[in-house]
Amino acid sequence: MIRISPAVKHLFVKEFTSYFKTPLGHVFLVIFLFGIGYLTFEPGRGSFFYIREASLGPFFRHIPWMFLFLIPAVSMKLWAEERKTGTVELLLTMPVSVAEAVIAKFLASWAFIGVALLGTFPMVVTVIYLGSPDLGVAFLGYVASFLMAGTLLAVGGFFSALTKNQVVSFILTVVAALFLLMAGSPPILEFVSTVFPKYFVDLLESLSVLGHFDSIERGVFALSNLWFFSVMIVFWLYGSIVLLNENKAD
Amino acid sequence: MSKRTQNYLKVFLALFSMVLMIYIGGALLKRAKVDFTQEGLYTLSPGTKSILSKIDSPLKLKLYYSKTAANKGTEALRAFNNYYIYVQELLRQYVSHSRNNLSLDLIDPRPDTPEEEEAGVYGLKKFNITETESYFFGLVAENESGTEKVIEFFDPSAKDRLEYELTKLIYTVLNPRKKSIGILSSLGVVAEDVNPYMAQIMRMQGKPVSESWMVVKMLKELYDVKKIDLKGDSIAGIDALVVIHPRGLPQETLFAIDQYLIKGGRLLVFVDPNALSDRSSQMAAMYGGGGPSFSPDASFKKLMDKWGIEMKIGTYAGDKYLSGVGRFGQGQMPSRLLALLNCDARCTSPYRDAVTAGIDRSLFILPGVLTKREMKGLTHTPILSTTEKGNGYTAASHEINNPARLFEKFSEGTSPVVIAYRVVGEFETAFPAGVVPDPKDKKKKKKGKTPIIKKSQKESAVIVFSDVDFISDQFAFKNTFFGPALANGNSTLFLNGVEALTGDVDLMSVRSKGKINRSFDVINRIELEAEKKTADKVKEINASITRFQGELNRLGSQANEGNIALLQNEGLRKKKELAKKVAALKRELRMVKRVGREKIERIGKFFQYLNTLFVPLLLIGFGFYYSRKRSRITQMKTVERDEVRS
Amino acid sequence: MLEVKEVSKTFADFEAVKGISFQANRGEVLGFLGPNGAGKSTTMKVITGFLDPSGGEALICGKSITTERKEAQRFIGYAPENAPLYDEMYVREFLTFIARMREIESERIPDRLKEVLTMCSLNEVAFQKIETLSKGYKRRVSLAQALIHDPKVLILDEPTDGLDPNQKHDMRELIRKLAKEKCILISTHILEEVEEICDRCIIIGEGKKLFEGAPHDLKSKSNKGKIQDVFRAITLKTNVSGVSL
Repeated sequence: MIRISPAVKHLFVKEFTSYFKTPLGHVFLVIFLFGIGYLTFEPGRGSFFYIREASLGPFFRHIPWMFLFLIPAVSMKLWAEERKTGTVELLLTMPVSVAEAVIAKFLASWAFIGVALLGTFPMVVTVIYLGSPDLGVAFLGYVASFLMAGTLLAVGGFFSALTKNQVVSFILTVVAALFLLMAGSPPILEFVSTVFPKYFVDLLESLSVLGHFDSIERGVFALSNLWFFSVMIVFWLYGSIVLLNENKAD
Repeated sequence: MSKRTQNYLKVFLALFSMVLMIYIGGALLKRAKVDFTQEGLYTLSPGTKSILSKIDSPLKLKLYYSKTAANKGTEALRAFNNYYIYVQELLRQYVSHSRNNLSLDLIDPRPDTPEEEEAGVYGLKKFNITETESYFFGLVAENESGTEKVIEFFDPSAKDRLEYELTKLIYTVLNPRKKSIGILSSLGVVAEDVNPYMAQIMRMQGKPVSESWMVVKMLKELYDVKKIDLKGDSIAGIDALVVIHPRGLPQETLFAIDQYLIKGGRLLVFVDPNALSDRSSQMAAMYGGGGPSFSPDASFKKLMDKWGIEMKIGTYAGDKYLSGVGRFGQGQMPSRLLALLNCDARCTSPYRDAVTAGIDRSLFILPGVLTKREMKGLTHTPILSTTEKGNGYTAASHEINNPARLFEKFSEGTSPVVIAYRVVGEFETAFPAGVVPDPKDKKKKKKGKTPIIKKSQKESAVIVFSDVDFISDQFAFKNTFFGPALANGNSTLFLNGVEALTGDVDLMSVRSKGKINRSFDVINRIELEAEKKTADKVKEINASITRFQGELNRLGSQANEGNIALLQNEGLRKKKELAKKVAALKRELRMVKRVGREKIERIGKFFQYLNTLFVPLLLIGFGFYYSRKRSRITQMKTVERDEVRS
Repeated sequence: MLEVKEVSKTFADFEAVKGISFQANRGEVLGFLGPNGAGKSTTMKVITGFLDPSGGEALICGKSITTERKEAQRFIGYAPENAPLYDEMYVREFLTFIARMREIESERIPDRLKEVLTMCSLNEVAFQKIETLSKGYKRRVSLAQALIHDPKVLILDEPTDGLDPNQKHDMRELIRKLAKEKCILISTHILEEVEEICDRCIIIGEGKKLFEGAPHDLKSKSNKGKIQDVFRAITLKTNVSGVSL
């Protein structure tokens, strides 16, 4: 049994509350909530009110693309900032291991995104008022969004540990997230299949965050989806830990 | 190796093993899943499982989908990808419940490959999307003995019926022997089979080509369909008899039907107080003849009396809350029509009947009102009805074409009006004395001796629908880019009825997944209310016009040499008054319409603001409050401390 | 209390520290001298457990920083170079966070805060945001966080760097006061500081220990009494007039 030191708890609390103490956290929440609301109701054929269906589908469809830019904005400062200002020295000379610090910070940022998702509760109220939505599917939509957020945060944390520069970290994360989102998308698979053998295409498809997100969001919770997200989170966190151990002093 | 390289290697290896773990784990865990959808979209029904459990030899499923081509195609074609994923998902469920008897191959037929050629040979539908690329989306099921059945094309709009289609495919491969169904109809429901080539030639020669109704074509896929002669006098060798719009049947035929039922036969009957599908009557109407084409006629009514079912001619089942939107004649604005009855889940779900369950979208056109009379030994079960607010209304034939008039005559009811009944039990004959053979017909004389069975010895069943038009091509199907497609659940109702009577219980219980109504009820209510108010206004306008005309007539009748000029002035004044009044009323009408529209727009705006601004504003407010509070606390504590110090 | 044994640290292609050993005890202030880039900070980072040594080890109160890292770290208070702090936090809030991370029981935290805030004269700014503080205050906050858990070994990396003369004076006073009960390792390149507060000093250059002894020993090597000359002679390995090593 690994003993979770109280330091993890305190670091988690400090990191989590820090999102609400800086204007940045508020700005993020406001942009996310306004943006997702706007996209959902955006006038057009895919608009929630145009389709007139009491389902959160049009809402969840935009979540990956909101996350594509907003998650890197949250994750970029996880380690890059600590290393730039030198507070990483402060943090890691306290009785807390790199792994614990990585986990605590990751969980804090994940919880923050969780709060952002909770902030979309008016959407649920809306569909319940207007019709009779499938609440089981709606719940799974939130589960899928949360798991995807965790995965993208773990990826972002990795790139934040890779570089001291927040902007570089942001860009790298966006690129990586875009790749992971699009991995299963038809144009990419089509392109890849012209160069690589079939099993490589399958491999790429199985890496698609969007594919797994969609599959849960549709209303079926498969163990393979959970496996995908857990493995992604664990391994990217492991990558961050190894990377930080290596270059925390640079 | 330096520690740095070692660490980077570690990261690389970790990411590599991550990819492998996801790939392998994903493949291993694919089957473990929980279906959260209310409709159980991804869960197989017991009927399917039961049919799957009966498979005892290998059965190969080949799913053809031009994935590569679809990805190159338009956005619309790419939308099929979603449906493909669903089909694939559902088929995997089939495979996992088949005790390894089913196998699934996914085939992406590329141009100029053996796969593409094969798809063509199987008869899958092919769409050319570019000069080189063609598009397939179909399924082939093949068993060891070489029986093969195909689904030519998967239509995304028939998603809720997908499981039924798939199970049917497997069922037909397993049970190649077709049951036979007899069809007896006063309408040209079943046409002689003309091969397409001949049909083409006949059309070119200007000869009319009669085609079977689509529902009959669908029936032929599953059954051996026999056309029963209208003048026949014995019915045997069929598993079920479908009677559509029975009118003008000779006594012998009626007797044959009666005896068929009593011998344990199964009947599916469609009667209609006003069959628009009867073209002959429409023709007649056009030339100024006759009223609506109705059934049952007096002689068939005698049969129905013995079933304990009655339908009054000239009385129709209506329901304001189910009324459909359409236009009655060309060039008219679409409006709500009482004649159209859009049945949803409220019409079928209370009965939980295998025939109608899950069909939440069906359309009836001027259906009749079925009432039952208790009969000894018979059980009557309603299987489809209006809502509680529905009611019957009478309308003369000239009123039928006046939608507003129908609404005027209609009043809301308190209990559902039944449109379809199922009657099960032991029936009695309607011909206790037999039939007196037509003396002119010499042939039939001999058969006068046919023994009469007065009461059935085993259970039989009859299903009666009070509409014929709903299974016609016009109302049950729609034309799409990919050819005719189901417009609603009407044809399913028809097939369900046949199947329920031929006794394929497993397949019947699969049927449609059902669509739970997820539309915006609130908005629908507002629209309906606005519609009602508009109707009231229109009524008012019409009333004042009528009143004016009456007054004008009265004035005209009072006219004589002396007061003619005066009266003309009076008439003009009244006309002006009326024009003003009508204009005012029309303004009000526009207002009413606008109010309804604006109300919906307001609701839309409200929710848009709620979802875009409410929480963000809350956050901003909270942020300001919190930061001010924090600085206040800071100041306060500082002051306190200073005080303590001094 | 503090025992450094043959510590070396190699980065990718650069040997920053090449086997340094020394000891320090309670009540002692050990000055760590050397030109920039000599390996002072790296050595300190190894001792505090921030970096893993490539060779050798450091014992803090008998606990090895490599094998019993967490235990050893509990005995150390560390104020890194340039006093990095979480700028968005308030002073009190920050110190409370550190206290919690240092696993001080929550009921003892208010007492510890009071003591540390008073000791470092931070009461004035306890409710201010760290980013609004002057450099001098920031140094003191950095020192306060190193002291919050009352560590036995205090490691201060250039604590007076960038302060004005008055602030430097205050800081030195504070260090002298603390020296009585603690073992303090302090790095600096200001030579007068060494004379003023250190009991002993170590000069390192290019990752190696070049000199160890009392500041007056160092001073006595120059016949002019100029400690600066001696430092130059040792670190640059050149002959400086009036210095005999």
